[in-house]
Amino acid sequence: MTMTNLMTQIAISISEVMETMFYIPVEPRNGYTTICESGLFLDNLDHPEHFKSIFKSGKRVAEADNIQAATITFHGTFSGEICLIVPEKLLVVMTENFMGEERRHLTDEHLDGTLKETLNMLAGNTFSKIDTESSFCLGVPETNTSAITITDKKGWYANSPLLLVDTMDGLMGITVNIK
Amino acid sequence: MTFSILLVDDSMPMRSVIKKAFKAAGYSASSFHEAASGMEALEQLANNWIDIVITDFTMPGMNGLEMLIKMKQNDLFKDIPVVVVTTEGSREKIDQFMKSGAAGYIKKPFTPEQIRDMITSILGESNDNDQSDDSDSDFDF
Repeated sequence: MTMTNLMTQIAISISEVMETMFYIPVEPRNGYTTICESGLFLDNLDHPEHFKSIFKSGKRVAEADNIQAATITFHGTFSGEICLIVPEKLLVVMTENFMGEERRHLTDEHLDGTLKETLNMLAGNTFSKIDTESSFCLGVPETNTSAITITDKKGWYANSPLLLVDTMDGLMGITVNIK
Repeated sequence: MTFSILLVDDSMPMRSVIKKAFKAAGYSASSFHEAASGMEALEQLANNWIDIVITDFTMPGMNGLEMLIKMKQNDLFKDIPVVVVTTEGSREKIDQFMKSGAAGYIKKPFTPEQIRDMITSILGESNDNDQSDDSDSDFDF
């Protein structure tokens, strides 16, 4: 399994999950980059769950200051962690579609649960495509991003492969770290 | 006919989505019980009449497979059908669920139609959408 193959499976999986469960068409960009190369800075250390992200061009991701991120660990023939990064604006749309509820009825718990469930489905779907025989074990998704070094450009996520996925409501990112 | 359904998933939004899928399938008058772990589910089973259990696999504490095995070891719960709805997609894991007594298996992401078809195959057609007029029935009083 090469990193390119893994990122390709992730791109297929995020399309299936977003279209089946959220009714949101997505367009994963070809190939992958890294957080450093993309210029995606995650620098709000005081509120690590709410990152401010800016492209090199100065254009904000999805015009939203707040970025939500969740991580999930996996163990199998290889092990590591996947991180899903979603602008809050897009997450609200996803949650509305997922739960069939209007925005005014949504709580932080709904948004948090939707983000974790999205990552859970993404990871499960990806690994079931990679190897249908042996079993990858998935951890429980977490949104407590203070535990990871994503806010540090020198951290291991900074140079991990990052898949950028376009949607009508913003750009989402998926990064993988193989341990 | 209505059913008493136990939804077991640590994700509150996912429980809500499955509940909506049930209603979309015509089981609108059914009563729903919810649990966020296998342990909570066993407590719900002990305290409520349940016709069918829909469970996730990965949950903190007792997971769905452990809960299924516990249910099959209990004379009161062993005949209640259990459907596993999970992201786990390996052949090994599916075999494990089915050998442990699961009545069915649905992989996430799923469509409401998949939920409907699975439930219908286990519980039978819902009568909630039955438009027949029973006013002339011999059983009216």
